[in-house]
Amino acid sequence: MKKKGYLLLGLIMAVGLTACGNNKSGSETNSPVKEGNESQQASPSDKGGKDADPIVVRFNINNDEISTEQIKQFEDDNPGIKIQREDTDATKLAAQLATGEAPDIIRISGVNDTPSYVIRGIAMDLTPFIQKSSIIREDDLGPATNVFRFDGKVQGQGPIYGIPKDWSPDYTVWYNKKLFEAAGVPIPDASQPMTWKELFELSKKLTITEGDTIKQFGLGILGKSEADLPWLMTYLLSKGVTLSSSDFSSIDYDKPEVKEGLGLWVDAVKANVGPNQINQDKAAWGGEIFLTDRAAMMLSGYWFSGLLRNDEHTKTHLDDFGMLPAPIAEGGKRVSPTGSATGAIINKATKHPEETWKVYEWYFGGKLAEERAKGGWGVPAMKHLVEMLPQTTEFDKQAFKVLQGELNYSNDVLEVNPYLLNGDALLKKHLTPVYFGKSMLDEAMKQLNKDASTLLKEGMSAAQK
Amino acid sequence: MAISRWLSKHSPTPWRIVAVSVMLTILAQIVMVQIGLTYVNSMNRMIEDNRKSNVSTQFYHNTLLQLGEIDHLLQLLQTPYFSTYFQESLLYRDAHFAAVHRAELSAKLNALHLSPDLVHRIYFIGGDAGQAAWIKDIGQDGFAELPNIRMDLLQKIHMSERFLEDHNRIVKYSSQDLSKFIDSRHLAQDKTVIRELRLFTENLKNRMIISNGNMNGVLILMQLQDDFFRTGLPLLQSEAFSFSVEDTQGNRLWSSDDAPVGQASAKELSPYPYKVTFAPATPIVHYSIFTLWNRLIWLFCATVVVTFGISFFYAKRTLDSFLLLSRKMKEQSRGDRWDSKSISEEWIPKSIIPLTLRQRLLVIFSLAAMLPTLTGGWLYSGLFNQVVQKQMGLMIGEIGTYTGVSIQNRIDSMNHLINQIHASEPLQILLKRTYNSEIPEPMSDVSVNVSIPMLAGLNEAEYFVLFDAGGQAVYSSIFSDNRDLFRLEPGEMRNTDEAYWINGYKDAFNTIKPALIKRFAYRSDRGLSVYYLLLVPRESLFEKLSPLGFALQIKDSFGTQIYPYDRFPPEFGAGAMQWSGRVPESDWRMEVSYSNDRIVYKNREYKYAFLLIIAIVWLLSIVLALTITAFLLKPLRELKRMMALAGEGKFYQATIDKGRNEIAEIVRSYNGMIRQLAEVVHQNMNVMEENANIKIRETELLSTKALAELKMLQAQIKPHFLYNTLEAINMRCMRTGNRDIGMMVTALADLFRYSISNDTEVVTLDNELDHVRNYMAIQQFRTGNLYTFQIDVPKELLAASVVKFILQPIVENCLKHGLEGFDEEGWIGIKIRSEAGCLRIEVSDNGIGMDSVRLTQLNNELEKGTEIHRDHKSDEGGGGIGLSNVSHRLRLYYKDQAVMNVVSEPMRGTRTLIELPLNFG
Repeated sequence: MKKKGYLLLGLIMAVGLTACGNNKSGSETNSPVKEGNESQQASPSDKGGKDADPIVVRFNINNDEISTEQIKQFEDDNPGIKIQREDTDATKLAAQLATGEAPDIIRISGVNDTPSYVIRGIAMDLTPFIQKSSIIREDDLGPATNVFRFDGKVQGQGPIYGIPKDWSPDYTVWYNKKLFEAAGVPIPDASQPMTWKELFELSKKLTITEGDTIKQFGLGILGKSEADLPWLMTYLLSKGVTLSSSDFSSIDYDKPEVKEGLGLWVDAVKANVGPNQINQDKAAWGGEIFLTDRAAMMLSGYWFSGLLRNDEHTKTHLDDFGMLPAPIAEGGKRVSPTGSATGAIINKATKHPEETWKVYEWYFGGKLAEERAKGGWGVPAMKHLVEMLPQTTEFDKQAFKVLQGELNYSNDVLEVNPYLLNGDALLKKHLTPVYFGKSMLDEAMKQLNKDASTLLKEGMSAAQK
Repeated sequence: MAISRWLSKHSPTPWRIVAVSVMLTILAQIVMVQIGLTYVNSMNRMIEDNRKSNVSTQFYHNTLLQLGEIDHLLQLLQTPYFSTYFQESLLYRDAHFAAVHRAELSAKLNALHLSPDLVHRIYFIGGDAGQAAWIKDIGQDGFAELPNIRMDLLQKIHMSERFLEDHNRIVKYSSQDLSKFIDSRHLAQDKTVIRELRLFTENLKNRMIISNGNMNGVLILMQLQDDFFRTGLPLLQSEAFSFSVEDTQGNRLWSSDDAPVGQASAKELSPYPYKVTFAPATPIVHYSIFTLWNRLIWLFCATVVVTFGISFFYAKRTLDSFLLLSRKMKEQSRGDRWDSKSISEEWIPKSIIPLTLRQRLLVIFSLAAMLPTLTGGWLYSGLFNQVVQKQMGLMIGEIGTYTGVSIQNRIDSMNHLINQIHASEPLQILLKRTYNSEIPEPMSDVSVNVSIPMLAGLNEAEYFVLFDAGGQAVYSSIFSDNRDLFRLEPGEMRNTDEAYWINGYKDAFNTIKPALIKRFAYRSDRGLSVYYLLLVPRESLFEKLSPLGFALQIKDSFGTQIYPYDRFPPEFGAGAMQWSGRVPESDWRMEVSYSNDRIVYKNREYKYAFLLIIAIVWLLSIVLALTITAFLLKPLRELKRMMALAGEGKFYQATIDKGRNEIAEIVRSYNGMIRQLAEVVHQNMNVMEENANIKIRETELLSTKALAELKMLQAQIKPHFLYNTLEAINMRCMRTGNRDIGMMVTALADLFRYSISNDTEVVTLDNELDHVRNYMAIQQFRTGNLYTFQIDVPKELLAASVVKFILQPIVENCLKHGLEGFDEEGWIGIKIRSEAGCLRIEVSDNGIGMDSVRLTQLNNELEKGTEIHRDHKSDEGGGGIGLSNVSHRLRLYYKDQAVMNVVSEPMRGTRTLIELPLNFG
């Protein structure tokens, strides 16, 4: 009895203690702490360190310049590489460049931006890649692509830092026949370029006002119908005048040719040939008015034909439109440069140069370039693709013909001072009071010089660091 | 087992039993308290965790919401609708134009109804001198102007780079951070400018700033309210938590109190580059440990005392009987004389319910241990539950308050949103189109058709609809082509400029939803038109608020349910803890209820633990009771057994336990008693033995006596002399020719020779008969042939062995008694036969016989064979040894195998019969 009693006792105690033990430890089930993470933004600076992770190439480009299907196609064909498109936000880009977090491929304006990117050591020399490439061949690159060359002194020669996705002679003129008729103005001859003066006269004639409202504008450009730096440089190119010293250490806007050219614009603004700050027309750029038959002329490159072909309003009456050669300065030589040549550079600081080049090559060469050429959204960078430009409709043919003429004069590169960042904004800033009648052009140019030289100095010392 | 030995040394006394039951209770109490405290602690932990996670989650969500609001606002302000004023060279235009535009912007900003709790001030800084630069103080009308500070100036001194670097992030600038850029080298002589810059940076320092860092447009700097983050906390926040917000570098942007954050847990506020840290500042234990312990100790002591009382009382009663027994037995054994009084059954205590000892002990322990355990358990659990309930109440209250703040913030954000929608450019354009009598300028498709979804903050809304004054939908953000699906009832169009919520808006999906409606007025060239904006928030808006583990219900002031949409109110299970309160700054009510499961689960666990303890205690009680009973009963059983044995005459002493308790005493008493008994019995046995011995000796003595007599007789006769004499006589007779006398003398000699020879005890029958003949011859000689004597014996029997002197005495007897007074014709015959191994000897006479009385007497004597009874009548002094002697000797020799008896009738003779075993040689 005793023995059994003790055994039983022991058993019970054991059971009891385990139960108690369970009570203590089992009750520590922690209430799950909800992390409450909002939607996680995919880390933009994923450098893809592990082997298993695909390499992400960050591509700074607009969302209408590349489609998700195209990206997917590339990713399917190239497993292990992912393309991450990023919006082209100037502020963001500036901040990223400052902190070294810039994307791998950066969209730039070849004309305006190449020198400064090279000077700042941001652009990667692509010549070795191109030489090895079977898709992009150096001898196939059209002369306008030279805007992406810079040897540190002269833009247009030296290593290749980029390729345009396409380009246009940007100072051709599109006209709307109907509006010419409405104004009772004859359409100029497409075989010969006008002078700038003539163009502005024409545009004044084509501007129709009714009381306080402007029913029809004469001339639209890429922004508001006001002067901008690329236009000025085109004008000066035609005039054969340079502003910067050969080492870019100084720049002088206070030249008669400058004032001559800018003067044309001041008049044009006053005459409200297009939407501008004074008349405060809601249109943000000339395209808005031209496409809706509110502007008789549009100063824009060949690429604008793509817009015409595809826009709801214009594609129905394409035959109303035509292209004229780029105007030239009074007494100047004929030039038809590209004012921009949108392309891209590769960020020298990229961690994956090989993969980034793969993406670059795919986008700028190959099938995509063909598609772009066929769409007629610009002149392809590679010569052998020029024939693929649309030539079916009358409109196409006419435009193509004019283009062919222009291409003979497109080899010159606009002058750009690599140390003068935001030169355009600077110019506009100083011109604005002139438009408003608050200042004279002379005074404005002098001020401009002052500011420019300060900025130049800073730009140079910053680049030397 | 050593234990049993130990236990046998410490056998149960009432005190010991009491001690055991008290210990049992104490043990149970300790365990229960332990379990209870564990339970309370684990509940506390759970509550604390819950609280921590929920409170921090609420703050986290609120903070995210507020950051979202700031972000949306910043995005909104950068849209041309607002920022164009700083890009249109306002300062180059005429004053009237500028004033109009300024008023316009001011109206637009006011229409946003920005909350001063969020933003304190907004700086709009244009690019250059031609652009405007204004400061808007929220809550105040109009703008203040910045005379000189423009983007180009800030770029010149490189301060813009700092803003660019920090764009879209909340930062706090120290006084050095910005003022270091104010370097007079850049600024040359212009003291006004320098002063302005210094004032600018002075106003910005140590404040929470967020800017768009913009280079190419308008620089928008928002100075947030210093306590901006506090909007995530309830007004009366307990000091239990301290929150702080830090940026990615660890710089602290804000904290709820200035205490350094202790054990902080941090949560990233993704997608924003900040994190929230919060730390519980004080431990949650609101209950006073002291009071708890106080009560516990009281309970504990009470329980122990009760146990003590019960067990003591009952134990005493139970063992009293034993005490009495023991005493009685002691008295018994101490008494001088052997008192064979049995212990009266009268004083065996009778209880109401007759129980055995085992049962009684069971009862003691069960009661003594169980009762307090049960009550204690119940009271403890009550106590602990009370504590836990209190904690839960606090927790729920706190969480409810925080959730209330969250709800309020959400409502506010919806209000902001509806204002922003109203103030947004696309809507204004739409309104213009709708209400202007003229057909407005055709919009180019390039700026896409009123794309209101671009307005940030609309993620929180399911959709919104613009209704005209008649309740017709003018625009809807979904089903824009099917606007007629939306309709506003007259009852839903109220006459107030404040935004209001309606419930039960039946929408295009035919579901009932809450909706926010605000009436706006639009001034067009047709006059003042009224329109309504209806905004339906997503259910997720409120869903996100619902604290983990809680069910949330929101009702409006009329009691209609706002959340959850179109569903039954959440199941508040029976006994669920609820808290209800008002949503701050609104007339909504909210209810949170804590889902019971975990409480119930914990409670159940706890109850199970208690029950288990009680069960264990009970089992222990039983085991102990049984064990002790066994101990108590074992000696008693032994005792019983010994007593039984003693009754059978086997006297043992019970095994002694050397304890000093009642049982031992009983046993000792018993042992004493037994000893006495044994003594007495022993003595009796001795006496009886002696008697037996004496009897034996007597018998021996008798035979010895007889033998001695014989021997004496034999010894008295000098045989040789006699023989010689007789021989001499015989010779003479022969010579003298007295043959007759000579024969008689020879017969006599033979007779004597035969009688005194004691060589052998047995002789042949032949010899014995010769002896009888010799005797008879002599007798006949004496009496002159008065009698006739016959012997009838087969020849073969003559060799049989018989004991000496058996026939002659019988014949002698016949002569003496039977034939007494016979003068003639007296006859004695001896007949000998063998039968079945027996020798039958009949000696008969035809004498006077004897009467039956005498016959019987005689036979009896012969039967006994031991007594030598001399018949006085027959005592003649002639030397006859009598029948008794024969019988006795026959007995002595043949034991049971010889039979002798006499048959006689008066005057008809006597026959003596002897039967012997037949033996030869």
